[in-house]
Amino acid sequence: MLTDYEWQALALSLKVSSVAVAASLPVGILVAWVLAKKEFWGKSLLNSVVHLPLVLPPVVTGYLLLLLFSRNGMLGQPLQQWFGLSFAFSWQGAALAAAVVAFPLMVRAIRQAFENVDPKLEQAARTLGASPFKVFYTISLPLVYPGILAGMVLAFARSLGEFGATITFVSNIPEQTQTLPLAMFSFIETPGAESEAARLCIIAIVLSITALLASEWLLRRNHQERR
Amino acid sequence: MLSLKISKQLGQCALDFHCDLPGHGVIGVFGVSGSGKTSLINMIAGLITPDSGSITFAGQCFFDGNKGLNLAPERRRIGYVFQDARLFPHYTVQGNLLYGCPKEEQDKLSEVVELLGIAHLLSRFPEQLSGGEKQRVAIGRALLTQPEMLLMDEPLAALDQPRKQELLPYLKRIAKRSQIPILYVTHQQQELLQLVDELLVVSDGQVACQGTLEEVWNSPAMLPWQQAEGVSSLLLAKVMQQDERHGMTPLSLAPECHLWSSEVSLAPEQQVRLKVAAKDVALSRSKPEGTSMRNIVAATITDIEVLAQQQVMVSLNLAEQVIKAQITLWAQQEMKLQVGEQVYALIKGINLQGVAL
Repeated sequence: MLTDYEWQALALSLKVSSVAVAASLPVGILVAWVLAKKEFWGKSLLNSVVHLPLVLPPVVTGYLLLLLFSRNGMLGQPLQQWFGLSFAFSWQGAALAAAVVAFPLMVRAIRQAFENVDPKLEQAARTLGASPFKVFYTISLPLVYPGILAGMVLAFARSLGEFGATITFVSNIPEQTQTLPLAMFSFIETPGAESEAARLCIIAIVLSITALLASEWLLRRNHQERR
Repeated sequence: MLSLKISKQLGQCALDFHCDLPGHGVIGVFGVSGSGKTSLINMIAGLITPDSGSITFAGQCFFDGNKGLNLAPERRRIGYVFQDARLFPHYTVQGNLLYGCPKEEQDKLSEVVELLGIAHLLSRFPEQLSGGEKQRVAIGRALLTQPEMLLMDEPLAALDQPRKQELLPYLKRIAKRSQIPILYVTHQQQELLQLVDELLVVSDGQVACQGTLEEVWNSPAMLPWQQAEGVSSLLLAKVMQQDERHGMTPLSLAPECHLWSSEVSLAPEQQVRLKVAAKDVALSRSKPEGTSMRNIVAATITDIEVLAQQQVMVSLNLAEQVIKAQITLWAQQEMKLQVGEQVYALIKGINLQGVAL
């Protein structure tokens, strides 16, 4: 049904988005919790930095990533040296770009969920002998589960659609960094490839709807368990 | 014993509590809304940190402002029953009950479940419980942590009248069986009469009065509350052997001094609390003969206070307890009543309170 080329782009998109979401989730939960529950000096600065990718033009985000994570970049060089981790022109780089761009959406959803957790329940848990850590993983975390799910879906969808920062940071290399949107861009640029572009367009729509339905189903199941 | 010397500024409200509370029994914390009752027990529980002072319970220091010591709430071993139950929505009733229960104590579950009558609820989620059921689960959850003190913040306040009636017997049962002190916050006189032994009246962030329920009830600190439903006195009495012939039970205040109650189902030797409205007490210089009244006792006048609207409140010493009689100024002047004189108190009605029938 799908050509090899389409499969490649689809598989790469799914891999890049999944890795982007999975790798940024622990950090996202931590940052969301800190922003929702803690008061500290520099909180609004942290908040602004987290939200920056949401308001910056993606090309600027991509350019900054290039500065930081290229082979000679401030972070790219030590990461390569110490961990053998290279982001430049690889699918890992595409995942990093997707994660950074989707991060604010993930944090916003989870943060809101944390803010909705009644602090009275957390107080009650403390009087029942629970340490703050136990309160976090037995009360707060389970109660924000729907928010985490929503954040993951949003971040996944945003990652699937990521274009500007990716093409700037890791370029458009088939099998390496050419995700669905980038593949589609290539077809649109190629004269006479309108039908190929349209097929990719349909694949993208089906993929997004599937992700949304899956999250709906998970949320409903979570709610039913409590009845 | 719980020793409190704490002060705290909460917005406009300055709290300053100095008191020593007994290490057993049910201690009522009574006062109007906003008087600082809940803040007081939140400081004891460690949910609010005082600005200065100290909190010591049974030899253990919970808080000491000078030493910078502040024990975390989870290490104070205090059970807390909140007004709004605060059950965890994502745990079943059983999960809630066992949340703070140490592994080696989990066999106590069945005992607590039976005490509170919640066996049929164990697999439900809080969402499916009534207000009264939620509160019972919350009480069980606090008891199962094996606390050394129990705090209850108006556990009945959020419930409607039928639910209150449903929960009250359970509270009485717990109050009776409890080996640990219970601090019971309320602004309902009725709950005090049913549950409390010792009473702390809180007003404007301070302790206004403290003592046994009878002492505090008859003190001026309770006057603002008594005015609404009429002044009354509380007496402690012991149930004696029932008089089968007349179907009445004598309640002894002292040897040779007793009042009669028509309640016949009382177990002998138990202590009961009697509430007597001041308007139900009449006075007489001589012991009336040929009267239908059964409760006529000798008492000594300790205080005479003239009230508004030609009324007089006479306080009397009745077997070392206080009883009040509200009579007219006309009667007082005609009888020429003086402090220190002996008179007969004619008691028309007595209300038994807080009796496990």
